[in-house]
Amino acid sequence: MDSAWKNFKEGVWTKKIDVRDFILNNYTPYDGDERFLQGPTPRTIQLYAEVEKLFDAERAKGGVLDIDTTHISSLVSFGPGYIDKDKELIVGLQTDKPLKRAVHPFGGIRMSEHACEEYGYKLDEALIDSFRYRTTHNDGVFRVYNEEMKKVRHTGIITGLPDAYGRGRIIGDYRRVALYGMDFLIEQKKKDKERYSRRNMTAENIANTEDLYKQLEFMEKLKEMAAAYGYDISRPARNAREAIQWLYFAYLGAVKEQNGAANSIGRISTFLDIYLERDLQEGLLTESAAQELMDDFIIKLRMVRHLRTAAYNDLFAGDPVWVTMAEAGVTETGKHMVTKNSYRVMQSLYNLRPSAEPNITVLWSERLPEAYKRFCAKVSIDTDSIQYENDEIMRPVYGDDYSIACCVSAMRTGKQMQYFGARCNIAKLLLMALNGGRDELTGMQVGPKGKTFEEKPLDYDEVMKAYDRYSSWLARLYVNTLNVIHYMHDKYAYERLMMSLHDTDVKRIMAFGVCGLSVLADSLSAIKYARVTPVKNSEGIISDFITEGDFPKYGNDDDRVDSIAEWIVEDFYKKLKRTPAYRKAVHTLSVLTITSNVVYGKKTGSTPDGRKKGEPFAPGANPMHGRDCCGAVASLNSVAKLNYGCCRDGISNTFSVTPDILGENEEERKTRLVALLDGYFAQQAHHLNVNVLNRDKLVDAMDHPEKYPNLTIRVSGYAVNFNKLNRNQQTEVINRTFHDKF
Amino acid sequence: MQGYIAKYESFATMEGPGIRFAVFLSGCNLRCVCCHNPDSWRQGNPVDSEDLVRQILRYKPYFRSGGGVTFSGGEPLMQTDFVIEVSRMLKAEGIHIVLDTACSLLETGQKELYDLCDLVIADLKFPDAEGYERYCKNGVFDTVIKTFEYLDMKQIPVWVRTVIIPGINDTKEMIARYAAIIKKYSTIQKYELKPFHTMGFSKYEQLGIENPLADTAALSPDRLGQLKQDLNEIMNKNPNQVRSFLVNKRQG
Repeated sequence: MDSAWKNFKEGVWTKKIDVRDFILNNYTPYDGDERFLQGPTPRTIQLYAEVEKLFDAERAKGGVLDIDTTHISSLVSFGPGYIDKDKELIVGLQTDKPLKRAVHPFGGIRMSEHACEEYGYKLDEALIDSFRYRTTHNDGVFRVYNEEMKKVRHTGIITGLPDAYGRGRIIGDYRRVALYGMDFLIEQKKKDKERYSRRNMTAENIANTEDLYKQLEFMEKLKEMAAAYGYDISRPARNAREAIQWLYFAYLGAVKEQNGAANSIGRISTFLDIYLERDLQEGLLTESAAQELMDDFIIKLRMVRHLRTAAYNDLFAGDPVWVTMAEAGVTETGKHMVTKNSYRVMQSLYNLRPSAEPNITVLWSERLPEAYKRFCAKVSIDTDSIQYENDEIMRPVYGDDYSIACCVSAMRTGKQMQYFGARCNIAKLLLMALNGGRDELTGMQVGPKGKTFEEKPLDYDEVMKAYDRYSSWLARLYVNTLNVIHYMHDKYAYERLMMSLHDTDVKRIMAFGVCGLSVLADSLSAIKYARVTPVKNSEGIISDFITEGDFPKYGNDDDRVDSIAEWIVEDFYKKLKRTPAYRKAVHTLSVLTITSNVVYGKKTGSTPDGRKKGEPFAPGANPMHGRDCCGAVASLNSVAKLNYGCCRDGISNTFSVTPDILGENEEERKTRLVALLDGYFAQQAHHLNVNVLNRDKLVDAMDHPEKYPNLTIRVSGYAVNFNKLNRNQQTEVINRTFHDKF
Repeated sequence: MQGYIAKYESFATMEGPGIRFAVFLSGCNLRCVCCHNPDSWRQGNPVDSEDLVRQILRYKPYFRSGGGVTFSGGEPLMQTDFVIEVSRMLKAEGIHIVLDTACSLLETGQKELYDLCDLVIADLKFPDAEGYERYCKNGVFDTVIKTFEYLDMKQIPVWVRTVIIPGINDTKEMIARYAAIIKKYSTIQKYELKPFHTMGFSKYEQLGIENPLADTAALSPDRLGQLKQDLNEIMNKNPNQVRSFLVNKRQG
């Protein structure tokens, strides 16, 4: 065995690439509590203070500190960069200076030009010129798009398509670099390429073989990049520091090469714990030093930046990278995978203060140790920085070594990749169906011509017939549009390094999405149970509705409408599957909006549920705010009914609560939050974002109620939905609730 | 059997331990000046006991770690037979039962209901008959004390609450008188002072009911903090009593 693997238990992993097998053979489950954790070292404090200064400067400059307008971002296009070389334990930056952003023009050169201009920079002429002679992903897509595709894109019934920027959501198995070293990985890929090149040279096989060539090219470049920092990653990592460094180099190479919408890092903490634990056992590290390494690594992850346009920021607010880190979970044999390093990752939120990145995602199971569950609850309460997903429903589909990309998308690490597919607006789709295929805002004929409904009370069955026709049309168009996008992305902006850290026989997933689920469910419920009469504008387009009478609303655990929501996603998924996906990808569907629910709302006319033109949607699978009458858990129960079987790309739900309502003291709060998570996930629910709100967020909730659905607050002996209070009452609550702390 | 419900709360956290499904029954025999739920006085929506049980059981997964159902109001004792029937069915399913009451009735039926409870949350609105007479209803104080005696005899766990209203009972002297009553019953695990607030005022306006405390301001958090400190001091005067009080409180 390689000396770097000293004291590791052998297994299948020693003969071939199998990181999962390495983990299962070598990890040390930890059942204890958080008391072993250590605070930041003086070095960490000093280094992070420098980084925070840079964050401040970045904010002061309007969100972008600096842009390099002359070099294209790639693995070796920038020399080594440091924050403060002597203080850094883990090194490597995307460009030569911290937070300086670089351009990734392969998605589309115009996007890069615009982004530079928006921040007062000018992209280098020579660079622009060089792109006159090459095809970008964006060029390729528009060569093939048909008129319908352009129209659905233009009207926003499908929005956020990755046709001008990196698609993201691909997670290289960065752990492989640490465990095996690049030379072994390159050797394996070369064998694969030889094997492929001997097959019949069909178009498919030629594409696969060329992919392997590109992967190999960038594997060599990764070695070169690390060498510039003075590290030889051709061999396996020999200790914890090297393991973290090797893994980080691999991730860094990926974000230098690609500006994908989400650059997630995978499931790494238990893997790294094996190295940390070995060094701790051998006396090479103290706990404080182990924490320090993790903190230093996490500082780097907090500094990943991509250059975006303002329009992009509207869709995905907050400059996110989605450095999603999947934690905990349970093995296929029923052993939990919590290690001390699962705690260290979260400790960084105390040592380095709360942060949105990395996006820590706990793979929840009832079987996780109680101490860990309570610690997670504490971290949620203290920092609002972590989210939860149900390991019990993902493991049967994705095994026990899956990662989470972006917010909620699971995939087997290094074995599956995803073709990201943005989302379509199904609330708008209903309006299009009622308007005979016309866009309700512009009047443009987008879909096939049909009849516009009369200004008479809508008949549910008639509406469903029209919806069926237009959803079938849109589902097919949506799959075909994504097929074009991903064909061109593979051709002109292939993720060479990320894909090199996957099995060559990779399985592909094409992830579709819907938004506006609660609006559509409530609208159909209104048509079914109340009396809805369309109102037309002067051009004969239905622009409003008169809704008389009460109707069941999604979010109250009422099967009459929840069953409509269930049906909507099942039906749409079924329709998507009718059209084959590019490269034999498997169709999946998500109910997720990130922050784009506001933009989607803006682009959608009034709906039969009483929502007015331009008003925001609820986020993800959340019920519309202010429509629940039975409190937050009833709302969770409604969302839990959506079938994960047809939404395997995830069902996102956001839950907001003040610390006060969770309990009087920390112990009570932790107990209730754990009970809430156990209760929600026991019902096969998929995902929960937990906000335990501080004052700032409550102030924000006054102006943006849609961001905080079902926000329940506690006013002494009284609990109330915050969104239902008037402004004066909200102000009073804020002043009272936080009196002690401010 | 049919009951009448003012509203439900599926994420009740102030009405007992854990996550609770709270059923607010409609109707109340008192007219306390500090009531923040006047909308629960009138008859609410009818519901069948079996339907209610079915609805509550949907929340069972959240009831681990101490949660369950709380019957509140209005005054749940106004519909004692209904609550007994629902509670019996829930007990059979292993659900933890809390009754949140002003203890204003005590006949055979109420005793039967108390016996089914895992915890009673009781209001002690005033420490004497005069207070009740002036601000709630005549003759209730006696029933409250008899209820405490009954619960003590049966050793049914009790949490007691008092709403502190500026200008009415917000003095150290008053707190001492409440504390004297609390100290008598070993079954009381927790005693909480709750601040009077104005969040229910708009309901009076909507319902067109005169709000007797319309001119009273909310109790300030500072004042509440001071009174809580006073309460602790008073409880501390008898060390034995305090020890058991604190121990129990922790269990609660």
